[in-house]
Amino acid sequence: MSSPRRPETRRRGRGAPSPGPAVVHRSSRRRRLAGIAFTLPSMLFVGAVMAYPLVYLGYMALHTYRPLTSSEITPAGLSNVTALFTDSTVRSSLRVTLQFTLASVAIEVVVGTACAILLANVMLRLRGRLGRLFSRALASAFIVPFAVPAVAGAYAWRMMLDAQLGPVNQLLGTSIPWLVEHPLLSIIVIDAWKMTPFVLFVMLAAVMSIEPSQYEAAALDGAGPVRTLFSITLPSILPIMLVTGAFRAVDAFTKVFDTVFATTGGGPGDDTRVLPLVIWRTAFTHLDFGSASAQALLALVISLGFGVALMVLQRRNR
Amino acid sequence: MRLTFQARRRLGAAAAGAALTVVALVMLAPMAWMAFVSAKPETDIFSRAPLSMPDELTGAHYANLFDQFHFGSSITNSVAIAAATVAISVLLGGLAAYGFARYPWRGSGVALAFLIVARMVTPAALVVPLYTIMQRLGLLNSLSGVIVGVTVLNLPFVVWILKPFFEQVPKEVEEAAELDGLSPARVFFRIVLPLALPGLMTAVLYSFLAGWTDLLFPMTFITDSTVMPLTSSLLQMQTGYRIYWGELMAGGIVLTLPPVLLCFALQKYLLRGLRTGY
Repeated sequence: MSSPRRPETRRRGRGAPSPGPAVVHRSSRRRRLAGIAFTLPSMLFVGAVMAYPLVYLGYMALHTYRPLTSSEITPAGLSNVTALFTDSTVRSSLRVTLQFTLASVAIEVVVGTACAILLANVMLRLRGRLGRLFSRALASAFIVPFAVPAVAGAYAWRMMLDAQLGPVNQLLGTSIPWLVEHPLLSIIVIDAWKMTPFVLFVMLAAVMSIEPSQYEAAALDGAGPVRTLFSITLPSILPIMLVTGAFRAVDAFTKVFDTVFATTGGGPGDDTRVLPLVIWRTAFTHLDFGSASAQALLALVISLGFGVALMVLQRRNR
Repeated sequence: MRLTFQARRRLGAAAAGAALTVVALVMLAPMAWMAFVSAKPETDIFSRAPLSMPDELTGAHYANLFDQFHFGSSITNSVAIAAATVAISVLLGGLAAYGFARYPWRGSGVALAFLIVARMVTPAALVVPLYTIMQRLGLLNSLSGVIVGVTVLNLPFVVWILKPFFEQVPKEVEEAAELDGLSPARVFFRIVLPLALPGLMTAVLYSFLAGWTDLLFPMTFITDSTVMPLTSSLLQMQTGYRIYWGELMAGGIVLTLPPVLLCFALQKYLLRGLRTGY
């Protein structure tokens, strides 16, 4: 019997006589079977629909398969993989995806944290019925971008940023085709709109969990709001801020698709051709599944690499 | 002295509220814009200033959704995809999360790590091999192909959301039920699930969002417009020649309203699911 179960066995024996070792033994085998039975359906499902396809992806990366010209799958050696290093589309997509990720996550973390601190202020200071109504209305408004499907939000922004049809240009008194002249900036703004609320609510929980006594002590010492912000609030939430930013970055880098597809489609030129979009276009526009598989492997190596690194870091800090 | 301090604090909070109101308006802008454009007559959209009020409102764009863009079937398809995603991922994910939380076995650490790694997979990387597999199985242009793809990406997330909820259920309750002779499956369905209801609500909400909002799988697997869900139907309104902006914004509202209303109603559960980490 493993040691972590001992205290619990002892606890069970509070009123009734505790079960003897023989009972524990028999039930431990039953428990193991139950554990396997509970998890097996999920494991089989993920194994069949994710693990097998990803193994198949590795096979495809070593073959040529272009259904437009031939339905045959022919061995291609490592040519698809080596092409990754010479293909300018792939190289530029890595640069664009990285720029997009760094800029959008920076905005999300800074704006999201700032809004969280302000919202916590409003929630703690305006305590009347009206005040509570006000902070609830604000929280509900911040939930909306989170709930709006990415493709709908992207199309709304695309029209809003249009040179003739869009209200943004009317308000600014300009007629700039934002998605053509500043495509990367546009998709960064759209992603920041969608994901800032996520950071905001995670950080709000962090800010609200700071002990009120810390603020009271600071106030007694005569610390002003700026001093309090920099010596109490920010240091307390910095670790969560960094972790949230890191996880957002992995997600942004590997999952950006809908927003770009529905707005710029990757253009103009290669300006917003992020990596997931390159993979999709290679497979489903150019119908070159071998090359697409090699690119997908690259994306997997990057996302799993960063993801596992984060996971290990987080485990160690715990 | 104390009064001025209080007054200053309240003034600060009012300033914070004003700043947040501006941000909140930006957050609401795209949805408000969709609603505004969707109700404008065609001439107002294309030949008057974007923010000018139309002389009259129209429901024509919403009617066109159903007449020209198969929105009747798209709504049904979206509901079916979302419902199946919820059912499969909450059932399988719930069982697995409970297994990991309560019945650890020798390989379960590895199995859990495997599921967590599955959360990080790039969807665009998965869709390439899955497409050829679905093609061979004859599951293209069917909802089941989409459901399977969306669910496999959502399932690990559900396990990760539910596991802490099951860990919080007091062990004594389960042990008492077990001593009464209930099998582990009975204990799970009769005793534990009702106690972990808040967690289940969170899992249901996020699974619904995953199924309802997914674009990648339907746009890749489905070319027949009567099988399309709302998300990939929207793409049909952008042709090589023009974009049907009025219909597109109306369709955006139809797509957006259910998840927004659901998130409002289940706000508490939504916020509970917002955690970072693996």
